[in-house]
Amino acid sequence: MLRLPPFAYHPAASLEDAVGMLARYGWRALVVSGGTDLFANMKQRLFTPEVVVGLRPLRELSYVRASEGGVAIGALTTLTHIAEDPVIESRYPALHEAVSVISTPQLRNMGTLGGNICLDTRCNYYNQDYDWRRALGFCMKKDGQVCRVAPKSPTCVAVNSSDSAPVLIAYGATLRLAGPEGRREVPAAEFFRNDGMRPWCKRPDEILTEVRLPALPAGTRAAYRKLRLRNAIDFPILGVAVMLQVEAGVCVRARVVLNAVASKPVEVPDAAAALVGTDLNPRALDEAADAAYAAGKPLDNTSGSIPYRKRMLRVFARRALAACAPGS
Amino acid sequence: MPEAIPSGGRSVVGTRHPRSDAVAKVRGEAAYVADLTFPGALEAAVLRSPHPFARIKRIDVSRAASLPGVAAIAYAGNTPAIPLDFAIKDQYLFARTYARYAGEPVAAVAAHTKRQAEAALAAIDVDYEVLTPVLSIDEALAPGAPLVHPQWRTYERSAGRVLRGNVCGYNRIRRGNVERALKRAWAVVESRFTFSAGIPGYLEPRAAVARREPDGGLTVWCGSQSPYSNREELAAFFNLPLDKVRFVNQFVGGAFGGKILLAAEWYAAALALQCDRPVRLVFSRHEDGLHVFARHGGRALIRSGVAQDGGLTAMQASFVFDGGAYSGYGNGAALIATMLVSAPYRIPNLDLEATLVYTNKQIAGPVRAPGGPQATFAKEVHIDEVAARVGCDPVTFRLRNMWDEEDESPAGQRLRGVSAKRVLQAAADAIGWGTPCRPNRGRGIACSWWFSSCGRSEARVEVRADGSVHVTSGNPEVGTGAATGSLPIIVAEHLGTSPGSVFLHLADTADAAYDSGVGGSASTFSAGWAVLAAARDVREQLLSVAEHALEARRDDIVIGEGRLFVRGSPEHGISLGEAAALAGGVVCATGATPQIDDPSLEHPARLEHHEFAAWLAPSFTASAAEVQVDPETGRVTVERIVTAQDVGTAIDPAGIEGQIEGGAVQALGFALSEELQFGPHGIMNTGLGDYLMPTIADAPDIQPIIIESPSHEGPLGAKGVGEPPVTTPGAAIGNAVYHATGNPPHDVPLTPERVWRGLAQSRADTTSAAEFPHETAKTR
Repeated sequence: MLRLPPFAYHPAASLEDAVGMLARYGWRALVVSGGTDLFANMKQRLFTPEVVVGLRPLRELSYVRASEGGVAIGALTTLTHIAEDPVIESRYPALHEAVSVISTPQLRNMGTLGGNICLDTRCNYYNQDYDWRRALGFCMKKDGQVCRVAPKSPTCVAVNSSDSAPVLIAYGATLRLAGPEGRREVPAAEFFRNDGMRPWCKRPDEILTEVRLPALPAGTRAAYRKLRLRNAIDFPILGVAVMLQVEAGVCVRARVVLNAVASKPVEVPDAAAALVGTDLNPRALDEAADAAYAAGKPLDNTSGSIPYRKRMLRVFARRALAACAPGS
Repeated sequence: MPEAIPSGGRSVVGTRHPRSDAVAKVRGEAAYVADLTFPGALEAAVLRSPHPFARIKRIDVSRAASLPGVAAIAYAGNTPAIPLDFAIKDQYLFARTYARYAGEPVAAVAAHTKRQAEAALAAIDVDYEVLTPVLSIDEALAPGAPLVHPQWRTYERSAGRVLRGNVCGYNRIRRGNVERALKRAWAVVESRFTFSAGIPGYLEPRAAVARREPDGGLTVWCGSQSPYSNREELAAFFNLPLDKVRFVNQFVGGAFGGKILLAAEWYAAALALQCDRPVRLVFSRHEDGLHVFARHGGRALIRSGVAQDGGLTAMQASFVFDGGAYSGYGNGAALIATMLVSAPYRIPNLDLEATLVYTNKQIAGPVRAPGGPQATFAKEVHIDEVAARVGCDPVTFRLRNMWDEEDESPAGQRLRGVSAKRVLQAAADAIGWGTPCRPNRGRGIACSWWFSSCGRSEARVEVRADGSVHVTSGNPEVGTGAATGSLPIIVAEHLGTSPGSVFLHLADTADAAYDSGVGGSASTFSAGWAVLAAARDVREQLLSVAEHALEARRDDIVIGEGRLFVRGSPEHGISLGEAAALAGGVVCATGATPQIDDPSLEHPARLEHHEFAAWLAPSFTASAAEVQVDPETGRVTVERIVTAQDVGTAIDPAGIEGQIEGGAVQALGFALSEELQFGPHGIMNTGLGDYLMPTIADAPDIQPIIIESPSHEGPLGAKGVGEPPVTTPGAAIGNAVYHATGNPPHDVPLTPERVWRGLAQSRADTTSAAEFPHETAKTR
């Protein structure tokens, strides 16, 4: 079997303790919560931290708390917990859908929301065994110099594969971070960067602690649609999150976010523009889907060819939109 | 004739029992090779070529040998320079002058820790001259193609085996005059297919522990399908006396044909022979993916002539299979494909050929029903295309052309017990054939035939004075349930006890109960015969004891519920244990498979280079599937699969249903998603995250239908069961997609993208060709 490289495991006694350890060990340390992403990647030698800081003892970071201002979810809440939470299912159905289709029941029992948001970006040339990567000469994301997908690219093009990320952006969620200099809040839309090697604005010594979903005005609807080849295990080849707010039959606010087409979730303002001010008639939905089709630029680094994934952008955008349109 | 069940009727055979290994497996108590611990064992690791094709100019192990903890290094320089024992002697234990696929073993190291062994691998200096690899059938067959085996002319090979450059296998069956018949046909339909290579998909990676014994012998702990023949091969290779080599099989985590050939055992043994400590080698999933004996990728061209009345008049078929870097057992798929492609249909003119080619890829092997899913997919989708051409319903068309009793096989075998129409009708009825389907839904049907195999098997059955019943068989239980399901049932039937009370002792060569192994659907057939013979003998001995003890006539003694008693007075009897005690403490007997001759062929002249044309106790299987196709994405959801299989006599119906269900899911993966992807440095998807086997969430409703048409050759009338149910469901899915979309699928697996391209193509054909300008180019 593939074995983990040697490392020291330090369970955190408290959040402050965890932050302190990250400050102390710097780049030599990584945090782990469910371990469903990190340990698999460590076995492939994609990460070789000297120290792994265990967040799992921090049970105080596992919760779903509803208030008038919205819902706060602790970063260590398991995906199963969120998928089964009745408040999330009724008030934030797109998040419910997204976490329900992540991987398998077993991995959802272990994996956490914070871990899914901070999922390492993925690529056919990167998520491979060490020997395979060595035979190819490695890639810039780990051990090498160039991008094997786009050799002229100055940055890594590994793909954001988090199902929850586009939904959180669509809902306008805020992420709370704790670091050595205190706490700060970042809108989900600003958390992600289009760089496969540095895909978040989070500093390495910061820990994601909480996700805050805003209270939604009446008439808000949202949906998430995922393209994958099997009904379990698979990461998205494509995902579309949609949030629409309708007042008196007219769309007053819209957000369409794509994932698995770039190193960050891609928001499509043109799609929103095609929807706002309309009564969400089929033509408006088609135009928005066309805008999603135009905005998504998949590369040849996941399953499925580029033309297919590009075509499916329109189909999945149209389906997510239809699920949100009144009367559906 | 099928042997009658004793005492008139069946009491255990045909009833449902949990298999005897179920509890240990479910509770995690079953010990697989990787679970075994040996004090002081060394850990081994294998150095593999990173290049699909390279000349090895030099291997220097001296730097590695001086590293801490390194106990032994095995490579071409210190292992026998004799080729492995295959029909074409083209392969060595370690790459010698050439490495011919990315992943081919070049050296192995044993060290005190796995980490030390891996460090030593990195210190072995191999000087490769990288060559241009041959990565497809087309490249292999192109004029002037680079030769995968430049020295092929020097290879020894068995009589009749074709070897010519990159072609390492060829066979042909001809009957009548195909050219003339095609010219005269009312219509000729031509179909071309491609198939991707796949993996057997067992969950337990290969592993072995080898230990040199003080007497100069060697013990190997393994999880093999054929420990006895593996042992013979290994002993001969290393020139060890056979009686000093012992193979001990452990619980096996699935095999599906992938564990017939030696793998980890070779390297653990090569290293252990240099050491005085046990050597343990456990492949990682990635490494197992590199060392895989793959399901053949390939292509097929089928051309059939049909008369206006719907009668098939001629078929011309040509298969080419990708055999990978070495011939191994790869030719089986080619031999079977020509036997399948025209069956079970009455076609007077045939010209059927199959070719095996070398490429610089993993070796293709005998994966469950070699060639079966591929050839069945091709022929059955093609048959639906022919039916469509004559405007005939697929079931009606098949029935119109199907074999009946006493019809002859393509090679001229007179067939008896032909249940083709029965299984077809059963599958069609169960799926609701002929009832309307909703839009984007389709039903498909497929029918085929298969063989039974009878290997050599020996068994010992004993009843001890404590009342326990023991069965020793050389047949390894690799997960099929043949040994743990059928053998106890056969014994329990004859000794009047329950299958759950039978102790099994399996597949330890020290037990001297030879078995030729799991493969070719042979286990219940051959091991069943051996156990049956031994159980009958023990039964007769018990009756003799009871005759004296009970002072009753033999005919009046009943065996049941663990006792022997006088008919009509159950209180007047003795237990099996008491009978054994009276006989001196044990009643035992050995049994072996009888000599069963291959069926005769009436027209051997129809064959060219074909050594597998006479099929023992053939069986028939039909599957029907119902699918839903998403027309926008091309995604196929299989809603239902029905498989009706003629099993001869159903000895263990619960086990048979397990085989049918497992076969359906394995066929689902073959048909829709499983595909080895080869990049410039070999397989891209060695892991189960990327190699898309179906999950339980993808598995449809599966309905097994057992049809019994007892064979004349099998124990209690049984036929081979394990392979047929993986051959037909994929083809049924293919035809269901055909009828849901209007497009016959030709490229397997039917990924959403391929189905979507097919739909886009037909929309473009019927509406505007400009709608899909760039996508259509790649579609056939």
